[in-house]
Order: sequence, then C-alpha cells, then structure tokens
Amino acid sequence: MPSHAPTSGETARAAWMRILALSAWGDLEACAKDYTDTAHDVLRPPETGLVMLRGRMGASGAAFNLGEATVTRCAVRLGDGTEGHAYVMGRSAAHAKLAAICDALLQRDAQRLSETIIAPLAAKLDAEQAEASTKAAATKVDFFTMVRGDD
Amino acid sequence: MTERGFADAPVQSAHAFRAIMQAMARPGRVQAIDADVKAPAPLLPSAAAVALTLCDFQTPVWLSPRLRDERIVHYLRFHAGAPLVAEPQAAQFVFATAADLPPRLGLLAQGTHEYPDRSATLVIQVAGFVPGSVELSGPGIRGGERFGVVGLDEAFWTAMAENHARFPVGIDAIFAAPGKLAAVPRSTAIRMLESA
Amino acid sequence: MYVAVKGGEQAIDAAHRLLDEERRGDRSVPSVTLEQIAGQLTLAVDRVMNEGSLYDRELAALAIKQARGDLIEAIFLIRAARTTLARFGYAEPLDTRAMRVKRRVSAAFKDIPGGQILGPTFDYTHRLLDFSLAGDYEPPEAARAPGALRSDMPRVLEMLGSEGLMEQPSQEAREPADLTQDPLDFPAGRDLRLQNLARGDEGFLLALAYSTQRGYGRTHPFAGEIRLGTVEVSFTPEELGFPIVIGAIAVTECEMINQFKGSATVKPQFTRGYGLGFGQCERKAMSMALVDRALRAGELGEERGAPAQDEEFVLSHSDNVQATGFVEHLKLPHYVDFQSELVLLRRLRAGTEAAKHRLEAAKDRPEAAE
Repeated sequence: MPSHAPTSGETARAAWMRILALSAWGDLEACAKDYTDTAHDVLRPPETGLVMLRGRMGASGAAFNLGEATVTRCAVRLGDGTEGHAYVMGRSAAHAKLAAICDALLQRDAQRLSETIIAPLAAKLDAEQAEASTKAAATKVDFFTMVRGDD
Repeated sequence: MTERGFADAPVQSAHAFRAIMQAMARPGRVQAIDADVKAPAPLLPSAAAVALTLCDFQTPVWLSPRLRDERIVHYLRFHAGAPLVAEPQAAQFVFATAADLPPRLGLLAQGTHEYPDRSATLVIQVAGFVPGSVELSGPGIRGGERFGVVGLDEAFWTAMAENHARFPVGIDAIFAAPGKLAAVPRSTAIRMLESA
Repeated sequence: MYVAVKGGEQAIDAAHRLLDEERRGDRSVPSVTLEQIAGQLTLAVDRVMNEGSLYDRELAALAIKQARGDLIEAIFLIRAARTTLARFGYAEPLDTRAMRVKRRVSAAFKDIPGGQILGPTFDYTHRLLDFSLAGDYEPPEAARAPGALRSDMPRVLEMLGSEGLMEQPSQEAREPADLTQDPLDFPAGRDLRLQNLARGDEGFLLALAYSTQRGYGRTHPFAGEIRLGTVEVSFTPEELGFPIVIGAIAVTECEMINQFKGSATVKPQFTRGYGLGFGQCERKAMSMALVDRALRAGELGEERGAPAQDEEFVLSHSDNVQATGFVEHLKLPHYVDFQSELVLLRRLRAGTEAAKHRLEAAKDRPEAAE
C-alpha cells in the first residue's frame, strides 16, 4: 500500500514507468535501442516472481485476492549513482532490464528522453487502444423501436 | 545509494539459511557465517545475511534506534521488500544492537497457542561471544551448554528465562557477531551462572 | 491410504517416452507452437490461467501443450509452477471501472449510458459447425466504428445504487484472507469465498449456479452487467513507496442483481452477487456471481438448505487440483490396504462358513445346542 501521497517527482516517474511496463518488448527495444548499451551496475539482476492481484467484491467494495501474475523486476545504477527500477508483468528479463535502464536515464534527463522514448511508446499504445475501441464500438447495439403486439 | 546484497543470492542465502538453521538447532553453539554480503554500517553483514535470508514483504521489521539509519531502511526495503514498522510489537523481525534492545521482550509478538509461529524473532548485533554467563539446556543440547554474549547482562538473560517459561509461545533470539552467529530459541532453558 | 513401492523405474521411463511420442502425434504434421495456443486457443488459456490462479499466457499455453490439451492437468502444472516463484507482494485492487471495454452488456436495462457492446461473443451465432475453419480460411478484418467508445463506462449497479435500490458492497478495510497463505477455515468471509470461487472449477461452479436457478437456493438473478476488457495492474514496491503500473490484463466481470431484501426498518433493496476472472470467462464469471450470492444466504438471513448455500460443501470441493488428486490417487498402488481387506473378508467368510457348520452340527446333535 502506498505509504504517502505521491510527490510530483514520483507522479512523473510513475507515468513513464507505466509506459515502459505496458509497451510491447519489440516497441520498447526499437524506441530505446540507443540506450541498451548504457554503462550500469546491476543492483538486482532480473528476477521473476509473483504478485497477488486483487479485485473488489461488488466491483467497488472491500478487496479480495483474485489470483497471481508473473512479474519480472530489475534494478540498475548508472555511473553517477542514479538508480533505475522496473517491475514488468510477464517473464521477460530483457524487458525489465531495459525498462530499469530507461527509468534511470529518465530521472537524469526527463525532458529529452520523454520525447525520444516515452512519447512514441505512449502514442503507439494510444493508437492500439483506439483501434481496439473502434472495433468494440462497431459491435454496439443500436436498438430501434419494436412495436409490441396488442396484448 | 543502494548497497548490493548477496553477491549470488540463491547460493549464499542457502548457505546463510543453513547457518541459521544450525544455530537454532544447536542453541548456544556458535556458527560461522561467511556470506558475501554487503551492508550499510552499522548493520553487520551477518545480521544483514539473516535479514536477506528470512525477511520478505510479509515480515514487518523493526529497527532499534542505532540501526534506524536511512541507508539501512532503504537497504532492507530494497533487498528484502520488508515493511518497516514503528512499534516493535508489530514486527516479526526485530533488529537491535546489544546496547539498545527493545525495552520489554515480553511485549514483542509472542505467537498464540494456535499459531506459535506468529511470534517475533529478535536479531541482536553483538561484538562476540564469551562462555560462561548462562547455562543452556533443552532440545538440541546434550547436557548443558555454557554460553554468553558480550554486552548482554543478567537482566537480558532473566527476560529470556521468562520467555522460555511461556513456551510454546515466545520469541526466538539470534545473536549476530562479525562472521558468526548463535541462537537461543524459546525452547531453551536458561540458568544463571555465578559470574553473570 | 497408498503405500510407496519400489521398482518399475524402467517401466516408468518407457511410459514417459511413450507419452512424449503420443503427445507429438503424427511427425509429418508440424508441432503446435505456444504462439498458436496462446493466440488461437485463447479461451482454453484463459481457463487454465483462472483455475491455475496465475496470469501468464505463455506459461498457460505451455501447460496446455504439455498436458495434451487436458486442461485440469494443465491447471495442475501451473499450480506447481507458481510454487517455484517468490512472491513480491500484493497488487492494488483492480479498478474495473477504468476497464478498456471490449464487451459490455446488461440484461436488466436496454438503454444504458455507454451502450450495449456485444464484443467478440459466441452469443447469436448459430452453433453450426463452420467448415471453412477446417481449411486455410482467413477472416476479414473486424468492422470499425467511426469513433471509439467512451472511456468511462458507468456501472449499471451503481446507477441503481444512487437511487438507493441496490445494497452497497461492504467497504471493510481489513487485510483480505489469502488461501495460498492460510488453510481454508470456516466460517469463511466473503473475501475468502470469492478467492476460492475465482480459482474454482468452472464445471463445478456452473452446475451449482444452475442448481440455484432450478430451485436449490433460489436467488432470482438478473445479469445486471457483464463486462470484458483490459485493466491496468498497479503495485507498490516497498523500495519505491509509490504505486506503479506494471502491466495490463484482460478480465471478465459479472454483477448479478438478485432477490430484494428489506426489513421493518430498511426499505427493500436488490442484493448482489459478484464474479471476476482472468481473460474472457463469461460462463465462469456468471457462475461465480450466482454462487457468491447463494453463499451469502446466511448473511442475508435466508434459510440455508441447498448445496450451493453450504459454504463448507462448496469451498471444500471447488478446487479441481485437489479433487483430481484425491480421485486419481485411487489408481496408485493400494496393495497393502487391499490385502488387509482381502484377509478380513476371507476371515469373515470363513467365520460364516464355520458358524454354518456349527449350526448344522448342532441341528444333528440337539443336546449340544443347550
């Protein structure tokens, strides 16, 4: 559980960590290809484990445990001491590691890297979601009034 | 800045687990623990090895004032994922130094008769071991074992004797010295020796 | 009770090799890939993830392949695999209100804000075998509407709730029970029941749900809202101290509107049952919601007599890994057990025989019978 209301720095960081985690590996690799060789120390090598997911009874009530999901985490440190973390659902070590490196780089130079890495990934996610949504929207029922028989 | 934990977590945590298990199984017998683990001072590597081996997100940890250092807090959160709690009563693992033990051991989580495992483990950082302040007896000890810890006085051993009287509930104590550790679980009876 | 026996290693090895060969099937046909299973047998994958209680499409696909399509065996494999992984913690509860909806229907109201969205459903298909799928048929791309769906779909039950017509779900803030950490204990809270049902066998829940409709614990249900779509998963790592999104998963949610309830002091309100599962699992989510409601009988002051209302019966028998373990263990050697039964039976029969002889002898010599 969050121990405090997130600070603005944390909010910004959470926003890019979200994009790094949600993006498909191929997209992340393509957008961050210039940074895969960034020199770093490994604080925590990629490690796959579980997170217990929760639902809410009656959708909005108290929580219950639904079932687990695989998650891979990784932590790195750049030469200047900046630490990057990643938690990414699934079992891709490469994804978690590159996301951790990107997290560290973004803390160092948020402005530039948000444009080169995060913005294109976010645009791709938006486009995919919009496409899925228009396909779902095509299945929306348009009721036209049916005349009921005299009964 | 985060210190690394075990150099090779799967192997070294298994070794550390073995040392802790031996210490628990043979109360008062000093075990070598030589895990390659870095830890921010003043947390001893032996105590850090215990934390990284036994603690996780389900084991609330309390740190005594001397250990409540920002770097140690961050270290335990990062490597063990363990939540830090403000009150020792809420902890499953209590880390302290011999000089600043939590005031009343009887207030730590004692477990219940249904679930005696829901009790605290007290990990005390100590300078070393000396034979002869108490005689231990009970499971895992043939006859009696003379045991003593640098910096722990009669009041501590009296509290540990009271702890034993509550068996099967009660706490278990691990003493972490540089490169070594020993343990006195709740099952061990304690008799004060004259010199103590 | 079965007793371990030694020997048979060679036979076991050969049996496993034979299994491997049979699994592979005709070697002139390409082996099925995990991508094919994960991408085309998606509902089988969803079922294995639900009852295996682990969201990982690739692992579920692997389990299905290894189990030769036996889903309960695949679920068993997934349950075994999860025990090898450390748990990092508990995620924040999923916010299904923020679901990116793929399907959303209500059987209670025709006109709902956001609309009825059919999505990829078998409903309204003719259930005629489609022989075009037997060949290399490539379907056309799905149709697209000019615009996207609204991003916030109001909940049907919340609309009723705002009028006071729907009971409000409990907001009790205690740490939810977790049956992967503590053994099942009775009486179980609704949190524990829902976790148990979420990983419970679909067939078992379906049968129980059906029984409530046929009068064994009637709850008078309407499908208030069923939605399928994607939700993001948030988790707060201890070392960061703030929540981060770690991925997105597909879920199906079912909210049932049930039998209303009131008292001298409280105006009558509808009651509710809830179902939630991984992936597209509408039958399971609906069954779960019906059984959840049936199990609330005690809490709602209803008479409890039907199987679906008996929490000990339902929760103790819903897990198909446990069930298959106990049923299937009967085929393991019980030689010693059975020997003792045989000996006992022979002794009883010999006793009967001896008694018969004695009786006959006694008839011949009336004086001895005294």
